[in-house]
Amino acid sequence: MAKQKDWIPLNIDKQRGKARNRVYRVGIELEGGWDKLAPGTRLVHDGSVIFTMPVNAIGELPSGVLDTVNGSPTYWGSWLKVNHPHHVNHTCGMHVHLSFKTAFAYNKLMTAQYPATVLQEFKQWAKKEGLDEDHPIWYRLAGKSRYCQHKFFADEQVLNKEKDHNQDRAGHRYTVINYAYGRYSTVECRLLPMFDHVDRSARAVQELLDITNAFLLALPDKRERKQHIEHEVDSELDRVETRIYV
Amino acid sequence: MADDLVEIVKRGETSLTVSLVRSAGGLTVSVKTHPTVEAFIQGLGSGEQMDVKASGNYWRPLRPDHPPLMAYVLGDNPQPLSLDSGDVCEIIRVGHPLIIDRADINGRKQSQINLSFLRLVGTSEGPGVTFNVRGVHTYEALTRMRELIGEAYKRFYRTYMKPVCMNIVVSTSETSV
Repeated sequence: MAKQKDWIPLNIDKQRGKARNRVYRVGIELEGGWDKLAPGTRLVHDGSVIFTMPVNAIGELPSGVLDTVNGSPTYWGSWLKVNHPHHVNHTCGMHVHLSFKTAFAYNKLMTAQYPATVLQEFKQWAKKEGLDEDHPIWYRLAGKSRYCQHKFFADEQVLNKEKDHNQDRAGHRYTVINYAYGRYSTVECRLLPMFDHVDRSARAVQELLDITNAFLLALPDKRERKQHIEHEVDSELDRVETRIYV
Repeated sequence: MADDLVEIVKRGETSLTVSLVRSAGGLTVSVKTHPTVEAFIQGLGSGEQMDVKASGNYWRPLRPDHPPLMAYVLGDNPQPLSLDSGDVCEIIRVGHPLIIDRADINGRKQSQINLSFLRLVGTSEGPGVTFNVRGVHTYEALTRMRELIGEAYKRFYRTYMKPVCMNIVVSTSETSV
């Protein structure tokens, strides 16, 4: 099975800004507190989101299927602006789902190099954003959060069809990248915390899209070797003799 | 079985060639068998054929406008074969994933290796049959799949298709009074 030892970031510097968009659709799950929800939206209960102050609505708000094209009525950026929570803290995460037009692009992301690259690039991004030392993203980047463990279980995760809350079993979903193919046909990035301003949240989602597109371009472009099975005819007669004495 | 009833196939001929490659459609599988293999599989039933879609929705033709994949219907379902590793192989899951990992009664991981692609109609003709299997895999999982299918086919071939001659000799034993 795929190995954790391949957890080595890929250098995507040259591909940054050159890669075309290969992400087909986006889904976002926002955790936090809302003074007032946008019309037609409903929260999902999430026991991991905790506020000590009174907040009108607490939980998780999952988007529908969103578009990557700016200007589309279902563009992810517009949805984020309308639905961003009014209150966030270190217990809140922002999970981003990405889907692709072909299984091949998904297959290419099924290497430990992908979550390793996502981590590496977000470390640089967080520095560039000037996030404080005590910002929850550092805790997640350091591998201290049990909700986004630095582990790689792609082959096991793609078979998960149900959502369970076991954070220890082999193939659980609480990893930096959860390969949620069996349930949503997406890869889910669980690394990001909620940010206190919608613009920063939007920049974080855009960064994930940029990393993913650059990663797909940076992978070696060699044609994948076919796995070949061959078996020769064995027509040699096996002789078995059974002798019975009477 | 008398020797003259055993079909002699020249040694060195290829009985099965399978190639697996990750593709836009998931996993592209190409299967080419020796005519004796297809004839053997066909002989497990009456020769009746079925659309693969009727049994499972993982296998698809390479393109939507290609003719549907057809498989031979089995008369009786053969028992799954156990491999030395504890894994099992079978040919009763047309249209399903090629490898299904399960836990056995002791909680140990056991793989079900699906050789049902041998039942596809036309595997011995021309270039054989090429089709897509829905799903995504790491490269390492694909390598493991190749090894498991290779092992399973060897067992399947030895169990069902390798010629064997069994002689039973009845002798009187010497007795002393």
